[in-house]
Amino acid sequence: MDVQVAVLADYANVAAGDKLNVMGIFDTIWAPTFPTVLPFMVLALRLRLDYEDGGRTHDLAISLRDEDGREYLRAAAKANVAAIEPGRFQNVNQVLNFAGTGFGKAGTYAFHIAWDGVESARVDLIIIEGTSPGGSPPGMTGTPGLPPS
Amino acid sequence: MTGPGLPQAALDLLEEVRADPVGWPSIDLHKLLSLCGFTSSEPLKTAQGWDVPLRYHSEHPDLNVVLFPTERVHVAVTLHIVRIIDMFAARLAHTHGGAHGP
Repeated sequence: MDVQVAVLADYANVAAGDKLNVMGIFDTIWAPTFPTVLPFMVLALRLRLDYEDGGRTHDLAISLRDEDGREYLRAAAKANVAAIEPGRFQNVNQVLNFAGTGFGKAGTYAFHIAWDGVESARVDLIIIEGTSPGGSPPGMTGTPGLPPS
Repeated sequence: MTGPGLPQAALDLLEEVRADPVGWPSIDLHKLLSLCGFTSSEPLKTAQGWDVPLRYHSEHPDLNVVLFPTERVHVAVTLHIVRIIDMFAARLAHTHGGAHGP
């Protein structure tokens, strides 16, 4: 398995013909206060599967961890991959929509993508306390009631 | 935009949310996703002590939603959920007879 695309973005979808559309790729967001909520982000993945991946069930795990390695959330799934002919490959798209994700503090977070227990990709998300120096990044909203970390 | 494929109960609740997206609790948005066929996995445990389910659709395994629990969901989050369902409805409509092309 080879991770062809692993990005955080404002929006992604899968169109007809298994086309992965991604808009607004980012890695840094600003929040004026904490705790804070990121209304929406998308983790878009495109995995290339080859002959040796076919005809088996694989473990796919995605976890969000902070810079201290604390696991913030984890999504695990079994991926049943049909047989793939020698010399052929198959691409699989995954769009994970995260709505209302709360963060207790600034720092560097990362999505870790593991395939059969082996980390295959990492997507960093840097959260900075303050306001964006230029324009409007993905919007963060201060939300009372979320517990600090 | 909505299309064929969504059950009437989902369409009714979707229009109710769309008409006034302010102040919805996340449990109602989870209900909306559930009516659209997104089933809930076991709650994902988080370091901050929240139980956060990942919702997936058995027939559309490439589309997943993680909606964090709040008593009053921010309007931007609610509108994004509406957008996800609109996108899903468009996909269903396309599946029911749209054109495919390279």
